[in-house]
Amino acid sequence: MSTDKSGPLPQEPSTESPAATETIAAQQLEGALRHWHQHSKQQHRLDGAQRLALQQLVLQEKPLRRSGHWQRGVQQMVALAACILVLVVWLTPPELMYQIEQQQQGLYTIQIHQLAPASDLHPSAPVTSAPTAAQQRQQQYQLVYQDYLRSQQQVARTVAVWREATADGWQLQSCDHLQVQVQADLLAALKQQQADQQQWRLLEQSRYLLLTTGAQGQILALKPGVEAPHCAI
Amino acid sequence: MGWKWMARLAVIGRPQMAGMTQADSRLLLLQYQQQPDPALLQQFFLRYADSLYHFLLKQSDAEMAQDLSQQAWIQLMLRASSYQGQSSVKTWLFSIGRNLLIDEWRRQRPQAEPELLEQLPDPAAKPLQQLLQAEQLADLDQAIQRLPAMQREALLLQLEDFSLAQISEITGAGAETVKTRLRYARQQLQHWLTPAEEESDEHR
Repeated sequence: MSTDKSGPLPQEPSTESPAATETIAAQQLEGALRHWHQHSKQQHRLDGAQRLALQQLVLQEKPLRRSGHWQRGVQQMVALAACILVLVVWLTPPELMYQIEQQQQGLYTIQIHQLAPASDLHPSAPVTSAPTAAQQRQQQYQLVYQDYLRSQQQVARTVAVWREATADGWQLQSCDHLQVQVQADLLAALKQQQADQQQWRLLEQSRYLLLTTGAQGQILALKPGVEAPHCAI
Repeated sequence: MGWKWMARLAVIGRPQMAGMTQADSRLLLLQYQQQPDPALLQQFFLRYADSLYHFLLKQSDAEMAQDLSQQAWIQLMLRASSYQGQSSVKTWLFSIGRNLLIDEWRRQRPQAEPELLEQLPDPAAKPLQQLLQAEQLADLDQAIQRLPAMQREALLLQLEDFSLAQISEITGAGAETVKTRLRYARQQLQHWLTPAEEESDEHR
């Protein structure tokens, strides 16, 4: 009996030597395998319930996940998300920040209190050449000095001021040659935040105010004053 | 979509299961891509369901074979749009089923690769002549079950009338590897099913 039983099945094109595939044993094995396969397939078919379940599955109207469909869906989702993002960016009001601008005019220090968009507070830095060592030392000195000044002004300060309504807000003036301009937009914001509108009306009617400022000079409180500031001559 | 195969479809319409060739089944699946009619899938099912189930059953058990069959058909439906028509539908379906089976093997026995799942031969050998009798087919069945998984798989696919190229496509193995597996499978079966005295007579 030949040991080479690797000849293909009768239906397959021959890949081995004809002499080997024609041995009796090989033919017997091939016949047996064919017979076994047919018999096994007959014996092991899907039974009725299995067949029915599978057929129902196949016959069920299942949506075919065609690549075009989901691609279109993804495109729609991306477009929708982009539209929402644009709308959000467009509709979001610019962030407003409290801003104090200080000017010196003769004897007077003029503080302008206003609301300004955050972007205006951080303008893109102009391209400058790298600071020299001396400039760096000076900047460090200024920072340390400003920290020292702030540490000395941790307590809020209240001063009596005159109030004068102008076209673009209020102008407040203290005895120590300080003029404070409160811009109309800041006043509008303060009025909006005011819970008791009666208090605000009193403020608007008052000629004198008590101005409370924080360590950085920002306005903490405005109260109606009962009498004019007493300035030392 | 080319007009040629559309014209071909018009001619074949919905061919009956018995007369459906591999080319027809390709065209039917391409038609299904355009219009997912379950009746088209039904024809594939009638033709291939038992074969796929048997192929899976001989490498697992009834429960797993049924489960994997179901999964394979679902995948065929879901992935029909990606069918390019290079291989026959039967080859594609068996590839899906085979991949599911490998996944299941790995899930159940992550440490053991199918190639290594070789089992020991049964010493109770029977003469080949007797195997043609129905009552002895169980012995051949047992012997086939004892083949290494990859050899058994190649043999089962060949008995399903797949060509070497198609077996290679389904299993992802090279044609030479498939030939080797088939040769070893037959040698092993021959060895197990030949009585010891008959073998020694031959060697004299």
